[in-house]
Amino acid sequence: MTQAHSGLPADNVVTLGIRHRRPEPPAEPLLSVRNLHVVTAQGRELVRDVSFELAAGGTLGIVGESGSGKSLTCRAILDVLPPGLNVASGSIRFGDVDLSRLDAASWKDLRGKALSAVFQDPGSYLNPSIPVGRQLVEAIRATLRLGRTAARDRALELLRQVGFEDADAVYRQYPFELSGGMAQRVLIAIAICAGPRLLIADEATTALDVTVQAEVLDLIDRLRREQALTLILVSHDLAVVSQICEHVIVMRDGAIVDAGPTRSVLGNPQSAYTRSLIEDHAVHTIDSARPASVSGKRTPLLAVKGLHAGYGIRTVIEDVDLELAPGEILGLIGETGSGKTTLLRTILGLIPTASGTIELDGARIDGLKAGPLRELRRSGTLQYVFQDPLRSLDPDLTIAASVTEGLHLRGETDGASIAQALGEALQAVGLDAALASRLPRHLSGGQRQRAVIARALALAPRVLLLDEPVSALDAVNRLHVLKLLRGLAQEKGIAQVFISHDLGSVAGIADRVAVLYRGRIVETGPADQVLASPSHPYTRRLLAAAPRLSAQRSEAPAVFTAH
Amino acid sequence: MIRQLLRYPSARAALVILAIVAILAVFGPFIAPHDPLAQDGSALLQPPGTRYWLGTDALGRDVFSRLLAGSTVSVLASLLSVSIGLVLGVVPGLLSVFLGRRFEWINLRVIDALMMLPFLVFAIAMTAMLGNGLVQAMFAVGILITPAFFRVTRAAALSIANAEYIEAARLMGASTSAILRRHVVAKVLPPVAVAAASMTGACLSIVASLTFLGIGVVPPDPTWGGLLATDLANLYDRPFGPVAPALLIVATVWALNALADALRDSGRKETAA
Repeated sequence: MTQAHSGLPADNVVTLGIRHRRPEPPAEPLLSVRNLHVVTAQGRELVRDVSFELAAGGTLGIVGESGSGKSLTCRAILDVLPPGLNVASGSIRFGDVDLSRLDAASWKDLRGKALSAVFQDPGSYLNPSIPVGRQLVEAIRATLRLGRTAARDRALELLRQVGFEDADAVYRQYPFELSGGMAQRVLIAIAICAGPRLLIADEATTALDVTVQAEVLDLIDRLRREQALTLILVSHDLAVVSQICEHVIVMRDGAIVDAGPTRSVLGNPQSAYTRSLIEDHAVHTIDSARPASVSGKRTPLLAVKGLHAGYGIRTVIEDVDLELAPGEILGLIGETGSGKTTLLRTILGLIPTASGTIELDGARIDGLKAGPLRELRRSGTLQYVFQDPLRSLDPDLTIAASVTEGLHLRGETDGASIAQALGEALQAVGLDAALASRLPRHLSGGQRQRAVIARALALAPRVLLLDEPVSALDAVNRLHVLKLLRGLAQEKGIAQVFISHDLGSVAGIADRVAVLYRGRIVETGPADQVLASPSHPYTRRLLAAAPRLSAQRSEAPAVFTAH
Repeated sequence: MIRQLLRYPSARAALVILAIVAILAVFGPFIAPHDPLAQDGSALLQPPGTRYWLGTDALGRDVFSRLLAGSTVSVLASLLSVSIGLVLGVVPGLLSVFLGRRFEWINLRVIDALMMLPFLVFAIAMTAMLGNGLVQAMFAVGILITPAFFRVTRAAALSIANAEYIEAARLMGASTSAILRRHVVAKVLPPVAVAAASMTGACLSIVASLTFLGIGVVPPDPTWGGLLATDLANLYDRPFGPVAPALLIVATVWALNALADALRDSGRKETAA
């Protein structure tokens, strides 16, 4: 780093010392980050001039989209930057220790003990072939030097602390037997086993369902208060952070664009970016459900009646009725395991129906034989969009090859008309035609998801089934894709079934909402009606768990009021 | 792919060696300074010299010429085995993943049965049954290396069989053969290429072993393994004798294995990028 510092922060950098606002005089901050720069081996700056202070017992939220440098900042604090990245300049002080000058041996006494962290995707941090109890004991013995029995007792106690009533059973379970939320609880237990002073939760609840997310956030908040933890909560979701944190930092492109007490940042954002984040939220929150635009009764394009389906003898879908009119978007909500994906897969003919009927444009499409089923699929009338665009695009095929795949499969050979269809599909999703010759890995997440939608559009579908199409995207891309889907419904009359665990997305896009609970539809109706005044207790629970921007709303959801 | 490969020094060395061996195999009989079968009664068991570069054997034949002439047979024989193994292994390996459980079960049992057979003994039995010829012997070897190709192909195909893009293709009405052509073959080829390179090396040693034992090639036709055998028989008179054929076998097998390793490593890097 050769760039000279004049002592004044750069134009777009808001440097702000965050102090705990308590009556007693502010003590020495527990964590103090000063002018932190993280660079790649090629000299590209991924984190620019980040400074903040965090008092003992304080809570700090760091918000930003993927690539904003929020995770790198945390990793720099923990000295676990990915290979090739280095702290170029700046200081990180933890208590009276200068973390940036610590050798490996001294780190061993800090990391996992005084400093601890929980990350996204809990499953990948647990060894799949060892029961979780033993992994917890291993962590306890490594950090606390306890004997075997003492460590076991401590492990069971920790498991109870993180909310497992049946700690003995969980102790013996393997990671694959745990749900995502349970695995995250185990990791939290590991993180707090040595009684850390600072806990960093990096997107710790992102992969979880709303209800589970609320529980885990609640757990983190409870542990923080019980154990006087200092907390850094990193999330792409402003609402999640605002639930717990007293202070918030908004990051973009490696720099801090907004910082301060949560209330003032939300109430009086300094940067345009923060304002746009808050506005995105206002557009897509459960309080902004659109009134039904499809009026009157039209002949349904897709009609599901009395559908039962499942895997083998296990019934997942029970007695489901659905109707979808042309140009209508139906939001399908429910937690993991409620059967949302199974329902879509049954409609697609990937899972056989046990009973009931599925009609597309008046013709039965359930129980088709291989030949007619292939004909139907090649017609492209019914198209499916997967959750993760990276996995649903062949990594070795260019975007053009993937988008036109269906046309080739249909037997179209005319190069000019295929090229035209490709151009139109890319234009419809707003994807630069120059990207057509690229491979999926060269595209951003948002571009990839557009490519997947373009692949579906190339076949001129009438019904789109979308399985969590925006959950892998950050706030800005999510908004773009949602607008795109809304436009397709209005301009091309493409009917859509839209699955999302993010109720804000559903509210922003759906005309009608159906709530799936344990394979049954417990509530259905116009989006504004269902989301504003849910009649079923399960719907109410789902809605209560959805994170909201607390500065905008006077009353916080029940789970968070116990501060 | 090639450029990636050339970043490895071992791959460059291996390719040089293999190029030399290929030239020997194609042009060996023509560039040999002497007739590999001609006997010179006045020069038996000669040490290397100006007239006979690598000396002569017990019958006065030029060892260098015999080595060159033997290259063709040795290389062709191992390539034949590998081709047979490729066809018999890769196709069922792919189909066992995509054609349903029954086909898969039968395939796996046949492969299990093949894996039990001991190499040399089976090859000897085949030549005893079908006549002592190199083609018969290499056919036997080809069948025996089939499981290696089957396993590699199947493992690679299994890892992508449940990929979402394959399901996406199926949802657009793709047939199994279309899926294989568009999505599977290209991803299975790299590991198969690795297996093929290392198997060619293995086959070369097997050819050498078989011909060393006198199976597959009838005297006086020269092969690398056969030369090694006669040289060993005359070890007392020509102690340096086995060095040349042994060196050639070792170098070629090493080159093939190094190439296989480099192929695997470059493939891994490419997918990681």
